[in-house]
Amino acid sequence: MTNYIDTYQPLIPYMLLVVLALTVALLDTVPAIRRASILGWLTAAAALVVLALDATAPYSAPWQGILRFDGYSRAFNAVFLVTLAVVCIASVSEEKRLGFCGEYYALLCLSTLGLMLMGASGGLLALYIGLELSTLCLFALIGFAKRERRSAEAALKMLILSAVTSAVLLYGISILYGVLGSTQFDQMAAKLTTISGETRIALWLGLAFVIGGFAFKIAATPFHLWAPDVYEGAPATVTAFLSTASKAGGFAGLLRFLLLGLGGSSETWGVLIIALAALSMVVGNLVALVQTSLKRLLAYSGIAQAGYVLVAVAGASGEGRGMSVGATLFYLFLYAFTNVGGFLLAQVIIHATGSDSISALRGLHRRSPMLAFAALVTLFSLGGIPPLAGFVGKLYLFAAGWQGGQQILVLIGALTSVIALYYYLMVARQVYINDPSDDRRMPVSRPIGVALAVCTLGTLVIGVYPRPWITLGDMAAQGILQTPASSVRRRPDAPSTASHAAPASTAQPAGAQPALPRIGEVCGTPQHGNAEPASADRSLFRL
Amino acid sequence: MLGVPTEYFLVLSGILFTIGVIGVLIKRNPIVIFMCIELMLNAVNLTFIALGRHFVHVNGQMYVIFVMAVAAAEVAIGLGIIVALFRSKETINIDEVNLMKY
Repeated sequence: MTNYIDTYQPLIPYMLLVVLALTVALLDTVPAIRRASILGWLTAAAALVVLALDATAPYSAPWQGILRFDGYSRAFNAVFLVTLAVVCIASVSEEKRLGFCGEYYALLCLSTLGLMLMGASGGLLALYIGLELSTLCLFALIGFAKRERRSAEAALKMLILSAVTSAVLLYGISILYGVLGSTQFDQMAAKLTTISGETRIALWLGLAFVIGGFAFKIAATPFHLWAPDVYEGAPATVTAFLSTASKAGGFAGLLRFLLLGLGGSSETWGVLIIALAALSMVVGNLVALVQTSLKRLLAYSGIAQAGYVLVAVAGASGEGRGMSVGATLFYLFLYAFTNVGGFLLAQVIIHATGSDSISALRGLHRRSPMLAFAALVTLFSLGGIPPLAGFVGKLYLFAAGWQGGQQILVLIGALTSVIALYYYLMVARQVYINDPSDDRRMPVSRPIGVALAVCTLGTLVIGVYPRPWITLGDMAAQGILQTPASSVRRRPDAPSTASHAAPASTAQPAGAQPALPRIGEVCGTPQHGNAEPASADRSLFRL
Repeated sequence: MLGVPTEYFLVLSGILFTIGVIGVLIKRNPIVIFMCIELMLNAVNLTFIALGRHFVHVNGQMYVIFVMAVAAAEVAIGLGIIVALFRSKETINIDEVNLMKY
């Protein structure tokens, strides 16, 4: 009985998030609550409660490993939920202007739930559902500013491109299913070693499609074209969520897929990731040089940052896997603070001056010294200047890439970082050196002020004292490494399914199948391949 | 089992998928583009069903249920966005949806 509770207890935070979303949407109907605009604060507080519950839940792999709750999912959930909390707080001040309330927070919660499912997926099915859940909610959020044309335009662009990419991703999944006979990660990895000859071509095609789908989600070149338009058109708070949590979700799913689904070797996918990383870093940084809009600048810088993270992902094979996962998580965690801060700043500037061009930042330090300081911290962290979080993170990423044998990529990364420094410093020059055209203070509403303070403090603290956050990354690495990449089969009722962080499956010789597998087993963990379509199997199919 | 070999289904779904992709690329009306995306998704569904039959799993068919649900949700949101766009622009031709460029 205790096993049963242990197995399903980690689901509680996920369910709570659904309950939260529905509650918030319902509370919206009470006029008093709507007027008081407390729903954002409430959602943020509830997100932190969910985070605490998630951090104390045991590890398990319910439903024959369709979902896997381990250190990895827990560490990524921290990234998603912290971002959710900060974005919810910042959104409070937008409520009046955009005319929304509960439904906005409900959509944000559901989108976060999708991202959490991606991080906890044990197979491509859960991964796909999580991806779609988060993306579908984001479409609605992007188009939330109903009175602004750009918002609807951005939503339509995102919708069409994303729908096409997810169809391609799904086609890739179906090819992988055809080649490997399963879409559960452990069984895919087991079957992968037996693939040879012509089947490899199909395998590569499927892989390319699936990785393309993830590259869209993380906005890596050449799948980045949606990002600048959508980031510019969407409300800034949504953009902040989209550029951090959604990107982190893409990486969470990608790493699961690459490291668990395709085993420990990068032989099959290495080239694709290397190409994505190199292109993202070069294109992102070069195009960012000519941008005049702050939001678009941050969009292209985000593409380049995705490239830096991909350097570590490219190095994630063999022994270096742990370090790569740790570096990726650490970077995404600090990036959440830094980049949310960046977009909130853009929001404040747009609100105060009506323009999101970089020149609107002129002489910000005379107008609002605190804002200027936040801008400085954000820009320097994105540029990777030492005392700040971005420096430690980038160092860790490049170290992981170097250790994984991607020296050339690390060199490209270092060179493009120098280019990046140029455009970040150009913005910093506007803030600190140039004279303002207008001496009035920029109005900052309290919610955005609080959120900005959290982001700036987070960036500073992670940079000065990175140890605990690196430990968080290590926890994620443990989660991935302790899952056996090539377990053979799992008994559905084996107690080990619920065991604590232990390998969640028992290796069992293929001959010793139970005579009549249960329905759950057929759904979750099918027999692999068509090598031996056992009679028990077929009879079940007819059920 | 029926006599039609699995390869036939896979080739058919490949053709359907390609038609969908071409449609997405050349059509200018977002509603038609949505229909093409549906075609792509249904091609994928066909692949899953054919492979599920080939492997004698229910796995492939499970995917189809999920894909259909997701596609329906996607279209619901998509039509909402198209209506919102039409209200502000009086057109939904995607060549004219170009406030933001490069």
